[in-house]
Amino acid sequence: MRLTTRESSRVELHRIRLPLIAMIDVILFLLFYFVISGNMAAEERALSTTLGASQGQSSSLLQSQMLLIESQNGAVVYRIGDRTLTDRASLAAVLSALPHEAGIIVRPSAEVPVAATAEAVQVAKDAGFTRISYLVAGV
Amino acid sequence: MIDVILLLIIFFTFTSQFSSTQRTPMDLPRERGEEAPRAATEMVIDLDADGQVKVLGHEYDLQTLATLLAGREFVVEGAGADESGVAQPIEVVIRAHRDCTTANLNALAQVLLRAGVRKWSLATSAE
Repeated sequence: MRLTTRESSRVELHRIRLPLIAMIDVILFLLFYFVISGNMAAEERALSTTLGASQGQSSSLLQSQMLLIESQNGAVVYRIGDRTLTDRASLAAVLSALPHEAGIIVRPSAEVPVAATAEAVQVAKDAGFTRISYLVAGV
Repeated sequence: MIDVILLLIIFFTFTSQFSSTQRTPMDLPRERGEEAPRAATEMVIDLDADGQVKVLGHEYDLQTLATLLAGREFVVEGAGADESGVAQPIEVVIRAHRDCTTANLNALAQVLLRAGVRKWSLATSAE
């Protein structure tokens, strides 16, 4: 039997109809995925350093600049040589001016918060130091 | 079939997401840090504001942690080997609370040093 023009166009229309149920499923799943994954994946970053002990250091470690982090009257101060720095900007300025080849040793005192230590490491990295050692006293 | 494939994709994506969200909520130091590539031989240690050490949600004292690290080194042997067959050192990530005193961090660092850990990372929050 031959199809008339009207019948064949109806068939064509029927053929190109979108599978709505599957499409809605797909869109909902994608929407669900992006909403959930966007909220749940809290971004964590890292500041990597090399662990070093205060005893038995190598000679290259001894040649590095020492950055002391201390607490003075409840506030965190940074000491490099005879310079005492009280804020991040001045620390960044001093570290940028230092030679970077020998690296830097970060030595926080016991009472300072971890946030101050992380800040010092971050500033050292921003200043261009690639060799950053974390010195643990009394090992 | 599309439904099944999508469900499988979502399942595997979510399980990988959940493995990272299993980490204990922690007020980390707010620094930009660096992109932290997840190594196969990575160990994440939580250090809360009171100096309590946790690994995968379980509390440990430093003595027990030292034993755990020693055991871990044994397990990693071979699994963390590079192409030349040399075992890679364990990379340790410390998730320390931003207000935790460095005394606690140093005590943990001493344990790590004794266990032979030479490279570690301090986790930071970019927010």
